[in-house]
Amino acid sequence: MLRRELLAVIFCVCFLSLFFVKPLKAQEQEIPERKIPEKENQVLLWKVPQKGAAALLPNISLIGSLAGAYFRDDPVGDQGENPSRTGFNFQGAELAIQSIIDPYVRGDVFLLFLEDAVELEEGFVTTLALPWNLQIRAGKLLARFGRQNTQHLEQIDFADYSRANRYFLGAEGFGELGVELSALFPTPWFSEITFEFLQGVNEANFASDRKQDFVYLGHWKNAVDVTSDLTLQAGLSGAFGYNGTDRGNHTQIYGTDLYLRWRPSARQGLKWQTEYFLRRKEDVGQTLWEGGIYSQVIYQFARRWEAGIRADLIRFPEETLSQWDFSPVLSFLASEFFRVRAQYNYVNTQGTSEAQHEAFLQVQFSMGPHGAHIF
Amino acid sequence: MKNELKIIFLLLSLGLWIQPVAASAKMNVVTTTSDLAALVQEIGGDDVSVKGICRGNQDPHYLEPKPSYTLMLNRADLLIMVGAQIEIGWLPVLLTQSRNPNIQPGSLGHLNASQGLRLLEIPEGPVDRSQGDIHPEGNPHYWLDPHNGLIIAENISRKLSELDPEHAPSYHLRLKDFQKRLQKKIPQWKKAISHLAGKKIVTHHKTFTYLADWTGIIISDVIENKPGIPPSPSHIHALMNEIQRDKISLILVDNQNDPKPAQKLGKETGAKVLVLPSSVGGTEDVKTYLDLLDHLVIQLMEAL
Repeated sequence: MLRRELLAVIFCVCFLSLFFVKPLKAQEQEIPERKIPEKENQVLLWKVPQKGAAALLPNISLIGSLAGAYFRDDPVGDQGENPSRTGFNFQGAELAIQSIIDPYVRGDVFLLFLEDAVELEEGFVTTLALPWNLQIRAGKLLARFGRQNTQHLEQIDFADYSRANRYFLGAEGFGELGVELSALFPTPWFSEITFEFLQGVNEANFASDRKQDFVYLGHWKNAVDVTSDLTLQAGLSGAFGYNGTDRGNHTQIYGTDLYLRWRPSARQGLKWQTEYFLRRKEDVGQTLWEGGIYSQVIYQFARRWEAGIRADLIRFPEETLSQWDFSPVLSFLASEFFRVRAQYNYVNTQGTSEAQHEAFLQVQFSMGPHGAHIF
Repeated sequence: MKNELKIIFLLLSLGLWIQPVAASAKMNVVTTTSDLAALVQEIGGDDVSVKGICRGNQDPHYLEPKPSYTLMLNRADLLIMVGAQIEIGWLPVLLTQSRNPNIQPGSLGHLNASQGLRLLEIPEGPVDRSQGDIHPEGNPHYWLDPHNGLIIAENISRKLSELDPEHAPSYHLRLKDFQKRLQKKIPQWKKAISHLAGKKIVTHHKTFTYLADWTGIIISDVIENKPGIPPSPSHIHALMNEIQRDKISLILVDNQNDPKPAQKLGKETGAKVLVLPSSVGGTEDVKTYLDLLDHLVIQLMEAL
């Protein structure tokens, strides 16, 4: 019942806030006459060289990821964008179509072309003019659960998603159709709270076939600049829904994420990112608790070079059974638009006699004016 | 059903409670760079409160969209940007996250400071990234020409007056005063480095194009010949020959870029390497727009 009320609250706030959208005064098109200081051959060129209809086209860009991979044993099942077999892998081509739609909303669509399928990775509208520091996103979204789940393949600094993220949120990530309402608090530091109300069909956690069973998600993100070069960001997440194992069975996932960014110049920097997941799943006749953590450090030691390491630890519900891995990575960023990356994964699962070895050589390229991603 | 109605009622009353926070008396101006912030300070004086996002020793091409910048934009009445795509890597995402309709492109509180300027190096013919990270709208480092400074100041003054008509007379007075001071300086600067006009130099990035344009210095070549991409060994080799052949005696590097390639070239050829700030705040003693140009002119004067 509480859930239904929460839903009603979210809907009401969304709806009410629409009444407060201020009509925007468009900037006057005519520029008053002005005196221009003496200078020879002064030409007015501020009317942007972009001409005619081309100026109104949305930004279109594409990011492609290819990987050569070696697996001691090839993984089983759908691996999403992660490399999935020994040999060549087409991890995906992400086609982004982005544009401001009108003074009130912008649209972002990310189509993911896989080797044999096309998926809607994300596709949503974002409000730009709601009052009270509110913002709504609606459409298909990568759920704001933690940090890595909201990031596309080209943002994660590794050739594959962390094993913990894959285990708890699915190999393809936790992306659903739904509505999101977020608010920025009037605090001196950055503090943002997000509620999401999503279609519950994520195969890793939520799979109820009853049409009224939705997934509810909350995320609280805080960020503070410790010094002008050092930023600390911390978040809490929780997602709740029915899992479909039996009528009324719930899954709850909780997460906490920590991100530290030190960037004294464009030639040197450090990123340290850690996420912890905890899942409670009601199954037929039992309740399962699972936990997992990953932590990764990326150090940029030259303008175009980055090296890093990631470690994962997952504890499965079966008593004392756990899996850990570590992954060193080295990236060469030839330009802002092209990079080559080498990565090795060592995976140790308790109860199996031999460790898994994986190695990747990844190439990523970007075409077009792909916009920046959130911090 | 009753519950839902209750909630709606609650929310409505909540909506009445949350009044927009009383705006502080001063207009809150955010600029993308320290140079624009310095110019706003000249025109706005005590009537505005101004903050610049990119510090003078940071490269405005490669800023990260930090959450603290989102907050700055969220609370801004006016955003002033350099334009010509110098902020394209970080400003759009900040604008979306800011939840501030008043400063979105096309709104009254959004000013592109390059309005009415003559931008240099607008690429001709087809543009692609084999040329590096080029700017299709032209070279964005236009503030290093004081003639442009006059126009930027005028753009700022007009926008401030439009948003805050009450203080328009003070903005106008400060604009006239600033333009007078700047116009007095221009001939002095030109005179001080008149011996450099026609001289060839090499620069690291295309940062000093506008400086060269008004001083008459000729930039014979740039080390980073494709913007954003480190030079190839063959280009360095060609440069070395060029420097020796044309007896080029000065290499300029802005202090946001790596001085090493320039220093290596200088060592090999005997040309002097000068590391200069390209923005206000780039070095400790450069606090205003006039300081910046003073500093550049004095350094150039002493170097050659």
